[in-house]
Amino acid sequence: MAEDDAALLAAVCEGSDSAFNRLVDRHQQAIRTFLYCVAGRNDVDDIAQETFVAAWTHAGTYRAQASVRSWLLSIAWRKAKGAQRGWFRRRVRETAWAEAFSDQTSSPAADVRIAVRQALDSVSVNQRAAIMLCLGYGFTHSEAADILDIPLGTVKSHVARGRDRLREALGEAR
Amino acid sequence: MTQDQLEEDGRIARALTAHAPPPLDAMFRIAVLERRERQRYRRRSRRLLAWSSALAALWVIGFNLGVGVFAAGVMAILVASLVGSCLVAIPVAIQLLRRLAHPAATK
Repeated sequence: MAEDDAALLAAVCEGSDSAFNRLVDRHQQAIRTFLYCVAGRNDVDDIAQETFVAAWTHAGTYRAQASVRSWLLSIAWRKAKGAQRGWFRRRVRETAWAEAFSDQTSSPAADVRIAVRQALDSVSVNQRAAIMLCLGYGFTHSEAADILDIPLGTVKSHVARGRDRLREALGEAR
Repeated sequence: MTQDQLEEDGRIARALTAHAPPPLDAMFRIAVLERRERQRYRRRSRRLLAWSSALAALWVIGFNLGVGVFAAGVMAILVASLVGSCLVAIPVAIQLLRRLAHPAATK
């Protein structure tokens, strides 16, 4: 998969539209889920689209040391950080929406999702991103540190604290 | 890590990815392509505007130097073509050098 991705990106570099389409199809779910976790639902598709356009424009800058997905996630993260200023205002509405939603649903799976979402909303954006990458996608701490461009120790502490917070939330949701 | 903790990590991972969009989303792909084309159009427009301005400026300079209307136009086109060729050639040369330096990235 990783090698295929690198080949796809090389084709994108040559201007292949079909390779670009395949790249979008292959990674859109991961990128949008990550952005949903860190940016909230309003900005997700906008930033995700910007991410893929940037990948098209800067395909030549990809280095094969990291996977293409890591590379795309790092672009998405930078785009999301750029849009961060507007989030704060929107996140207030988001939380209100999540709370209203939690009153209406009662299935155990929905309770767990809402508990996790609320726990995520209560931590910083950097911490949320580290949690999503390591616990949601299974990236190693050092891979997450590369993607987020923050020190390895910071990622470790973010993930450890985040895991505790999420376990508490899951315990309460049971 | 105990079995319970592993199970809990699995539940956390499932909950974190529970809001995932569908694995294939044609509408999203179309939106990306549309955005890319808009960006390309804007870039081309800006480039065209820059070239037109440069040509006009070169023509005015040439005309003011007293070389005549026709000669000023030819000079403007020649200079613009020369600069354009350099601008096209430099990124291609850089890309080639990058490929030579990092052959694994393009395999």
